[in-house]
Amino acid sequence: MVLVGSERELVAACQRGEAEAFRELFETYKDKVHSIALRYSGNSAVAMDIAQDTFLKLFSSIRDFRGDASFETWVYRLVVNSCLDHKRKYRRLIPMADEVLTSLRSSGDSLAEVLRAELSGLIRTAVDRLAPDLRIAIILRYTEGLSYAEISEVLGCSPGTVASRLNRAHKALERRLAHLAGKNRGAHA
Amino acid sequence: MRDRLALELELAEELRPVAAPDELWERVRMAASAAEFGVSPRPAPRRRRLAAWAWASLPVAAILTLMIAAATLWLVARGQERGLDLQELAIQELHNGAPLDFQSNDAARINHWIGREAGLEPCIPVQTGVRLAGARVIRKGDVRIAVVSYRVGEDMATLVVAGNGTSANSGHGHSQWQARGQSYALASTNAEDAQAACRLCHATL
Repeated sequence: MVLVGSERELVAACQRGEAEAFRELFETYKDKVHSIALRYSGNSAVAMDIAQDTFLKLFSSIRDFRGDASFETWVYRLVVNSCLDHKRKYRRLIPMADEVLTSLRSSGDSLAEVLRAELSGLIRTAVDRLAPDLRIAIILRYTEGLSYAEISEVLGCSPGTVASRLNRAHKALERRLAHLAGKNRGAHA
Repeated sequence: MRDRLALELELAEELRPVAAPDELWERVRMAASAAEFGVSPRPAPRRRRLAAWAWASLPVAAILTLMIAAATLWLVARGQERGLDLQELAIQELHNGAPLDFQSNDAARINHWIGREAGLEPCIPVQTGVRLAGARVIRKGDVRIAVVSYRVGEDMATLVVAGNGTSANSGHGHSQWQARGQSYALASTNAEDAQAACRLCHATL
């Protein structure tokens, strides 16, 4: 492994073209990148494609990183752009297959587990149906736990815009999931 | 969902981070290799291609460099020959503090020495209106040039004499001229009376 004392040194090693540094950088960010890709696309196969594209972009353009923003923010921007660039058709077709698989996997479980699985599928479907700019804000907020300010830095907009998008997303989700209130309480029982 | 907090709890649960599959690295590595920059340093193959190109073109570059250098030297030498400015040379020699090769105040001896050393005939009159100091012979390429140093009053003056082929005005009366198949130029420290240097030959001026 490359002996690096900090992320700055790791990035510098990558910029010098040290192969082991690339692997270490991948290990550092693979879960973040994959999680965002999976939560955005709702499909594991598509998530792998997005994650792969993201790391290819990262490796090919890391020499362009000048440190104007934090490296983590830069990585977030790459994965967000990969998500938004990804073909819309994958997002619409494949998640349905995931929902079917989820239902099949939960078919032999208890009623509470069945309800919980159904609720999960419906929440994810509701998230999938959000407009891309609202969905990516939701994912950065709840998957990565970023603050409004951090999200605004990643998306290149003001914190006020982030707050507006999150509010619109919350309202849309509440509206779409309102009929599940009773099931929700049952699933947590 | 009764309120926003419940929704946020559900979102945090459903959208929680997940570990990346182990095969992701292999996919990235393979894709990177296919894209030619690899997970290994991208510039490496470029360097190899550049090195191959450089090695292949090295002989051509070397020949071109030699040709350009030879042409440049030829042009410089040619330019020096044609562009030799006796007037400029006279001024340079006027301020040349080096000792003279031949020190004498005798015009006949100076004429003889220059004829022997440079094959030139400066024809300095024996009856001159200046105080002769001596002479030296310098070379500019293949051209030998005689330099006569003298004083006119308190001022220093220099006459340079070269064979034809060097640049000089043809009309006598300028600070440089041609006569008897030779080129001449004068320089004096007396800026207010440049003609004073002409007393080398024209004692009555």
